[in-house]
Amino acid sequence: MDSKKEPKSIRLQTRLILYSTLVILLLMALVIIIVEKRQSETIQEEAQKRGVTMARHLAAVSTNALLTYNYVILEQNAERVVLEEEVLYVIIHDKEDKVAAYSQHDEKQGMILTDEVSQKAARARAPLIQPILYGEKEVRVLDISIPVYIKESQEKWGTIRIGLSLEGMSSQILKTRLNLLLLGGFAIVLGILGSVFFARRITQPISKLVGTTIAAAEGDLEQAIDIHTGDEIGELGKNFNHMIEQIRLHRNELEDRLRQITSLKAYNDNILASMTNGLITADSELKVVTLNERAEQILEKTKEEVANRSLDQVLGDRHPLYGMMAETFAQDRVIFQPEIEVKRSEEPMWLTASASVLTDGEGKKIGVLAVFQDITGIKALEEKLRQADRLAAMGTVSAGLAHEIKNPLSAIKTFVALLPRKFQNPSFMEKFNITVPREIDRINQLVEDLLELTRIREHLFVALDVNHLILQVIDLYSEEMKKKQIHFENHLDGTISQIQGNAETLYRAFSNLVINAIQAMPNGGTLRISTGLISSENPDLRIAFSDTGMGMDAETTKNIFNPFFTTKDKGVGLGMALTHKIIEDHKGTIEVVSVEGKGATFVLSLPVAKK
Amino acid sequence: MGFKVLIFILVISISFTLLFDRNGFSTEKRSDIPGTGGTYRRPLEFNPKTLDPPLSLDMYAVNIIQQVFDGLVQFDKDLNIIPAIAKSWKVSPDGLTYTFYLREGVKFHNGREVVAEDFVYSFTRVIDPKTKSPAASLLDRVIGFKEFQEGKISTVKGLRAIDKYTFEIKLTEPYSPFLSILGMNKFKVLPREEVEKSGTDFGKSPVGTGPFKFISMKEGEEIVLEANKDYFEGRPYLDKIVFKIFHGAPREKILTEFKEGGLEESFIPPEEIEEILKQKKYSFIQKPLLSLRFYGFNLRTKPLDNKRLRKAINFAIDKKSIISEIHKNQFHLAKGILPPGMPGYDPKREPYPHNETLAQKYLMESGYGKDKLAPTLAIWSASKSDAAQKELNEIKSQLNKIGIQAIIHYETNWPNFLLMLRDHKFPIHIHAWYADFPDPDNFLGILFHSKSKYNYWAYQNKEVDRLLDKARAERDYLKRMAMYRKIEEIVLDDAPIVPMVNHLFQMVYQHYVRGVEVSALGGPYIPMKKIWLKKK
Amino acid sequence: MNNFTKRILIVDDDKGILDSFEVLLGDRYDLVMADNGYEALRIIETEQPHLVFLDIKMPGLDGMDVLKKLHEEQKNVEVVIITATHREETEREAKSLGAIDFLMKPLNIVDVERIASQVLS
Repeated sequence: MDSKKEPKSIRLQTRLILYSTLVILLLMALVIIIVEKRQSETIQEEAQKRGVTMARHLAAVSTNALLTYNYVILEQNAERVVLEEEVLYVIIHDKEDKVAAYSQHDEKQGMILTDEVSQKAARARAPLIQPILYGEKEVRVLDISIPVYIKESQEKWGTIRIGLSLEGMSSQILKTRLNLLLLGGFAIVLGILGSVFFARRITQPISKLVGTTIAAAEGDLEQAIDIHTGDEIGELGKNFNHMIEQIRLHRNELEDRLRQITSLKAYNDNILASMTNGLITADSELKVVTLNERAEQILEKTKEEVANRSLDQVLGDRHPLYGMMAETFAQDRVIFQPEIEVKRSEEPMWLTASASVLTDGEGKKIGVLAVFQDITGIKALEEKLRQADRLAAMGTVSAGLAHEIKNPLSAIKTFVALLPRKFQNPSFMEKFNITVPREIDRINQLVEDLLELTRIREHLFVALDVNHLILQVIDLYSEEMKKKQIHFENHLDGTISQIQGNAETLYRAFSNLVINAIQAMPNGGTLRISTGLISSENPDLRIAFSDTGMGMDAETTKNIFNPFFTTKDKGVGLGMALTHKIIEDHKGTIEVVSVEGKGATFVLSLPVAKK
Repeated sequence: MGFKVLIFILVISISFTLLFDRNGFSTEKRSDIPGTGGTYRRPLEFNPKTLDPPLSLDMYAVNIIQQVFDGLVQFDKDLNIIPAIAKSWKVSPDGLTYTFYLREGVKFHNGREVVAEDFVYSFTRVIDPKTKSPAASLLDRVIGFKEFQEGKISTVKGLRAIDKYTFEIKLTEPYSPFLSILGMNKFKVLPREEVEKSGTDFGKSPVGTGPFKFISMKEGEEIVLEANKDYFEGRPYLDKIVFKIFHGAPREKILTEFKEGGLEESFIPPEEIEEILKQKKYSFIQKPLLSLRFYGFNLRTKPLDNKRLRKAINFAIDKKSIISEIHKNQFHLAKGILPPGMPGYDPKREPYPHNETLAQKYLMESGYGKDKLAPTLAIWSASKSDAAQKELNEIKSQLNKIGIQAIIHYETNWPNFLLMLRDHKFPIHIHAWYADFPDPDNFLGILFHSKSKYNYWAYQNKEVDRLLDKARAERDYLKRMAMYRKIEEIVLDDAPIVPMVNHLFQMVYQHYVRGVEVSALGGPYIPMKKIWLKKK
Repeated sequence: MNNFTKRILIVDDDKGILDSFEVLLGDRYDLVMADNGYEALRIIETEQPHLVFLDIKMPGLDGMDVLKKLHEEQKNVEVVIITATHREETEREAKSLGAIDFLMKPLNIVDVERIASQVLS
């Protein structure tokens, strides 16, 4: 880490050092001052105490000598005491204040000292301490004088005086001071060193941290903090690392996401651009937000034109799209219009459109989206197809019709043609009378059925039992079924089978279905008929006719209900169409599912309640 | 880098602290280191009579004896008793047995080692009446003293050599000042063979154990001593001492010689002191001495046997004016017998202030006076110095005032003077007594006990004797002192002397003289083994 | 019956048609009936008719399938298609499969008789 990244933590370090140094200095100064003072006081007190003690002691041992004016003893005592380093002089005054002993100044023996200090001392009746300056060098001395009394008397028998040099004391105090100062200095130096060390120790990881975070802020997330102090700062470092790691991961994630989003957006844009559907979105104020390329084409407007302008301005307030989108947004529901007509410059256009509300992540409405497809072409095609279908149907019908009529007609024609030849043949005439009318009836029924097919008939609906009806049908065909080895499986739910309907036509429908099933199983099989509710929510009755017959291919399945649609597999042309119509007249639906070769299932649903 | 510098500073400062720890009591008490060598020339006012310790009578002899001999104990400058040849001693609780443990290897100047037996011999010799030592009586408490003196026994039982280095003295009764007595100049150890060889001449060529060996004595001129290199305390600093004898010459003469560099020390007349001190060329030492100068009366001669007369004389003398005018306050006025500083001293004493009226009164009561004139009194002085003469003249005139005639005589030959004194030839004489040891017995006892050989004035007072004896045995210090006070009172009342002054030791020294220690006993007791000369 | 008998198979799921053939040809030839392809094949196998009138639209195997089968197996039998619907390609296909004629319903008896007598004389 280069130093230009460290400015802040140097300040911190300096501050730390400065403060701790100041504190140390202050503390040390305080301590030194206090200690020195105490020491000095103590030393002084001690010195004084010593002096007083010595004086008292001397006084005690000198009492007898004073009583007897034994100067010799007093001198001996004085000389002994003066040997003490701090004692500069010992003077013993006798009762008359004359000098009985004066250390190292034998010449003064017997004299009276006239200096003020001696006078005061001699006069004092209690221990007296006088600070004086002694000798040539004017040494600071405490003159300690102790008056000597004897127990029984008030009379002062002498004065013991000790000159206690304060030099020793002074030098001791000085020494103490020096020691203290040196120690203090030493401690301060140590303290400073220590604080430098600790400041460094503390701020170094911090500056590392700072550096790393600065780097991280500038985007370099590869730096890891390397702090091993094993304390909170180390923790911090670890956490920082972790955090930076997290940030880095997130950033990578974000970058990925951004990339994703960008590519998604590009993809999106591509989609929008290449969509065959037009897309228009508006915000919550119904101002246009986006318009894709296809929408541009369809609406004949450019993105720039419509950007941020309100929908009604862009589309016109009568425009069906606008109405859809506005309603969608207002009512907060999806609106689907399979066909809307849009006036255009040349020809009207048909669109399939759906609009939905745009929400943000929390479900708040933020706008509305409409997707629409130009189905004009499709519609045209559809029309053509319908036409073709109709034609085809017509064709089928025709073909079927032709087929259905031609057979009976052929029979009739043959019989009629043979009539001239065989009219006298009674067997022939018998066959003629049976067959011809029958065939004529067939044609008639066919016509009737066709009419029926196209007729809009108001059916009379009564309550009837579907199951009952079905069973009747089965009953009718039971012989044939038996003959063809077709088994009937009864899954008729007895609980629900009442509907409103036309018995006659329903009967017809059911019969057709049964016939159809029978025809599908020429080699036998099973016809299962079940009734029941479609589901718990849907009250309509569901009836299923399942056979295990030949089944139908897709083509057949699709066209089974078309009139006269016959394949090689089915003979009845109109039957299924009729069934279909009947069921539709009942407001029900009929569908077929089939697997070729396996069988077919016709599923009917009939409303229980009249719609 | 800064770190290392800091550590360096630290180390230095710690070292400093330790250095500073030395005790800085650099005030006084620092002394030069003595250097050996040199000759010390000392003035002696008179030729000593004899240098034989138990026989020495004068201070002049003591000067020399102190350098040539040692005893069991000695005095330090504060008059504490410290070991000499006895390295330690033991006193029995009853105070009767003194056991001395001698140092080994102490040699006489003839080379022989000192043993306990030598002390037995030396002390016995003191007691021996044949020796005629005036100090004998000081040992009168030693068991066997009386018997030995009476010739009843051949050895003093109380003196015993327990073994080679153990010497025991047994007393008949406790005697407080006994140890101090043993420190006196009288009780030195002598080599028997030398004493016996020299006989009476031993006093002329003494052989001892002391720091200086006796070399020669030119009668009336000088006495030469030389350093004893084998001295048990270590050889003294001085190589040689020469005592120059001045025969009572005035002190000015001595001073002149001193100023000319012929002496290392000198007395100094009081009027010169101020001048000398101003010059600052010499060192000056002054110390009050346990001494008394007085006029002694010979109570044997008339009219001095008359107490009242003696008292009258006492009242007649105006000591104060003599001291102030003649002696320029050099001396301390003696009010009693005991000098200040001597235990028992009573500063309140003023028995004989100058009072002519009282003098007259007592004179009247004495019987002498207007009617019967007192006989002329002869006053003898050994010193003929200016001061002495002035004083004597003054006294003469003062006595005259009350009607007593006095004639002054001078005898400057000291030995002669001593002889005459001993022979009681002086009616009145000037005498000075210096304490031998700091005990009132050494004043009152020595001077006034009727049995004392130093009682030149033939004073006799039974009560004083009794008290003195009792006091000697008294072990309670205060009681003892009280007794001496009483004794002094009685003696003063009897007025066998006229106490005049207490001396001051005053000497000048050449500036290169070091190590001079003066005790209250005065000049003779200055241990010259401690003196050294500071060479340039 | 012996093989000499002139046997004709009629295959059609319409009863009317079958009845009409009955009266038309029944007294002159030996007629066999089938109403589906499977039956038709079986009879052809067992009865060996000489002529088959084959409807196309039938449940199960239809006429064309039967024709194919016969063509594959090279059955020695003449087949005439009878149908209600006419488509050119159907006709072509039928003829390519060996059908000797393609008749439209309603049938002309003259046509039928003619063919029958042609094949079976």
